[in-house]
Amino acid sequence: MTTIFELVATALDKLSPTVPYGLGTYLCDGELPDQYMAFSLIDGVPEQHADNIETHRSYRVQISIFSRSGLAVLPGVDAAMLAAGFTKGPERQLARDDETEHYGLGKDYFYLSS
Amino acid sequence: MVCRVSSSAKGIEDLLETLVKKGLDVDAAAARAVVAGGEEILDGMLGNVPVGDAGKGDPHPGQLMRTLKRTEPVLDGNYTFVIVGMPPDAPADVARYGNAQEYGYGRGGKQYAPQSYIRKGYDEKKAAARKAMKESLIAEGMLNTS
Repeated sequence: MTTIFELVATALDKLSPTVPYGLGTYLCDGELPDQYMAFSLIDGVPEQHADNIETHRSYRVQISIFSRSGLAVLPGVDAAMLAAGFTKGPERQLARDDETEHYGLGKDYFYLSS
Repeated sequence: MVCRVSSSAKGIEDLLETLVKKGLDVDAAAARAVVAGGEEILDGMLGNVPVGDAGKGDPHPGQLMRTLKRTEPVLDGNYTFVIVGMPPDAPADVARYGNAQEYGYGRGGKQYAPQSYIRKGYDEKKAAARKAMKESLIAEGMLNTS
């Protein structure tokens, strides 16, 4: 069975041009790239049971996009995630990291598995 | 950026309108129902909120947990709700800390992953909240179980 982490990674791998990303946190040796992403599983909640067996589970995933050039031009994460079967959720601006000068945007996506 | 959620009687408006026609005190019953639902959601948040550890350098362990609240029910016309999570009178530093924990943040060249307690608490308890609201209305004779 494909895990939610595989689903997200597969979707993000299809971005063109590619954007480096990490699970939870983006780790790298040396200076952070100008643009990178990190994704986290916020929760996975059972939505439906039948005959005492779980039949549906919804997942909420947050993808955080960090960019030194601001947030006006962002990688096509929406299209990649929608193509992978996710639906779009709320998004919010994250606090700017004054040291690295990265702006941040957190975007939620939902996935219903059966 | 809002760090709280609301529990309301939305979605059962038709039912409430029917009860109004029967002359029952719907507002009071709806208020008690959203309180019951809000308590479930608050329980979910408190179960997920990061507490910190003084031994690991956290200067205020448990402060975020102690700050999370459920408001008293608010009636705005036919709309009844409670707000659960970071209260409007929370200290600014706690509100900022709560936001950073919920959504993640970057500081000092390092990026920190979210430790969600608002969204996770709500998602985990939304079904229980609906059930608690329904049971509250049933207990007051507002809903027929048959």
